[in-house]
Amino acid sequence: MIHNISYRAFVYGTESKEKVLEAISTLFPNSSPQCEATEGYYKNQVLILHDKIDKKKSIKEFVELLSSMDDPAKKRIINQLEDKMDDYGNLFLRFDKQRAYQGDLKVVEHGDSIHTKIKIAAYPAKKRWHWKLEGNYSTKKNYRENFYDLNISGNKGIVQEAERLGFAGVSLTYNFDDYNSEISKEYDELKHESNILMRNCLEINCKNPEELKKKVRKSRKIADIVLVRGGDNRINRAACEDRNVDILSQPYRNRRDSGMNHVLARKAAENDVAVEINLSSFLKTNLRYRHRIVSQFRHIMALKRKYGFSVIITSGARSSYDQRNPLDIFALSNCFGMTENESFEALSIIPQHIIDRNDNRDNFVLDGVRTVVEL
Amino acid sequence: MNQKLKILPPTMRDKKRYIAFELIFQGHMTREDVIDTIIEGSLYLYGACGTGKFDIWVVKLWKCGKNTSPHGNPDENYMRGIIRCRREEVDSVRAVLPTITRFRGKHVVFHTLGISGTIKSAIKNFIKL
Repeated sequence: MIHNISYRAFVYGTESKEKVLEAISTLFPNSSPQCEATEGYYKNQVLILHDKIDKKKSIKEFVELLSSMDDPAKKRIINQLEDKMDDYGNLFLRFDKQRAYQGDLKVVEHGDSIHTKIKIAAYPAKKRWHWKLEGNYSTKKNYRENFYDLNISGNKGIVQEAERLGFAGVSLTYNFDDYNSEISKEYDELKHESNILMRNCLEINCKNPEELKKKVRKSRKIADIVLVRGGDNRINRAACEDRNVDILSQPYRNRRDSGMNHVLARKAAENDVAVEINLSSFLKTNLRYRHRIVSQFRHIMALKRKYGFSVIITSGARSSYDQRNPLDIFALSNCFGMTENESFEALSIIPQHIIDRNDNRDNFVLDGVRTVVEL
Repeated sequence: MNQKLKILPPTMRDKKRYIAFELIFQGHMTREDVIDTIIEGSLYLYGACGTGKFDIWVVKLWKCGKNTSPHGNPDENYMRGIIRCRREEVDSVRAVLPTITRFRGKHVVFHTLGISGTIKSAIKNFIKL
């Protein structure tokens, strides 16, 4: 099963664009690639032809084309599968441009080729998430260093308490409407004093999707992490569709249902928007209604398993009394139907991924390409 | 005459685990209060049916006095203690502690310090008084 295929081919000065297009049409007959003009090292013009295919019919045709390859070629791909796949379930294949122009398919290693990225539908989507806890995790002290709480707000005391409880990093959340230079200065001082990793996070509270878009664009420039406060159907959807949003916070807020459905789940997975399970919403709810929150969390987890979007657990702490030990959170998340692996992902791997992604956001050129060193 | 039961043979006894915990409270709490809070928390989370399986009991409790709270607030009471439960249910019992948020209208927080097979090692490794 394939989610989508994206490809890219270069047209160098010595090559004809029409011929490269013809070579591409051997692989993807129904695709009409976009063209981007760039400049090579020697100031020569290089065209980049690229497109993303997500129509089921076109994907099926491509799979049939692959399966029509001769047996030794197929065997070679299978043998190299491990090297050609990344941690996110993407399979990278390069097809010879010259051979494709002649109507033939050949997988090659060199750069003068049609680069294809095939997103394989799998659960868990990320290879490194096949992480397994061995034995009793409470005895493995080194795991303590990897937990992150991405939604706390308060002063120095709350950061110190997070450090004492074993968190490796926290993100301090501020309301977008209240954020100003004074708060920014305060945060900088706290960051300077703290011994753990710290990021600032802006919480966006809005009434309609248009307002959300504007606020996200603004906050992206000033905050490390952008969090949207959910609850309203339209806001939940708009947040899931926006790639600039990192976290959709409490989509179930003030609702009877979980605020997520299969459509939002698919969008959240596509745009890499993490859905937050906020422990304070569970702990601060009246004991008589806690069962409702548990069932909402369970529903979110069921959708996560099917559609593969990210889920993070945060404490949502506003005082030291709301903070909990990461290993206690592990035990509690078991009540929401989460396995140990899922809890670990939600408390460690995904927050780390969000932090890493935002640290490198300025360096991203396009999907899969980032600037390492500027020459 | 109320005769004491003969102790069960070791193979028939339930295997136990000891959870060392700390609690920070804004007022004063007795041992009975701590037991009530934990049992009540368990009842709200798992009900009578679930709590019955845990064999939950507060074994020991140490009052660390004022000015010892990790939050740095002199008005808070800081205590450490040990809960006994069945070995198979240790994760479920552990999940009860973070759900306790209030006692008599005031904030209270429980944190697990660690899990041990004997009271002696729980004191040595986690209570550390």
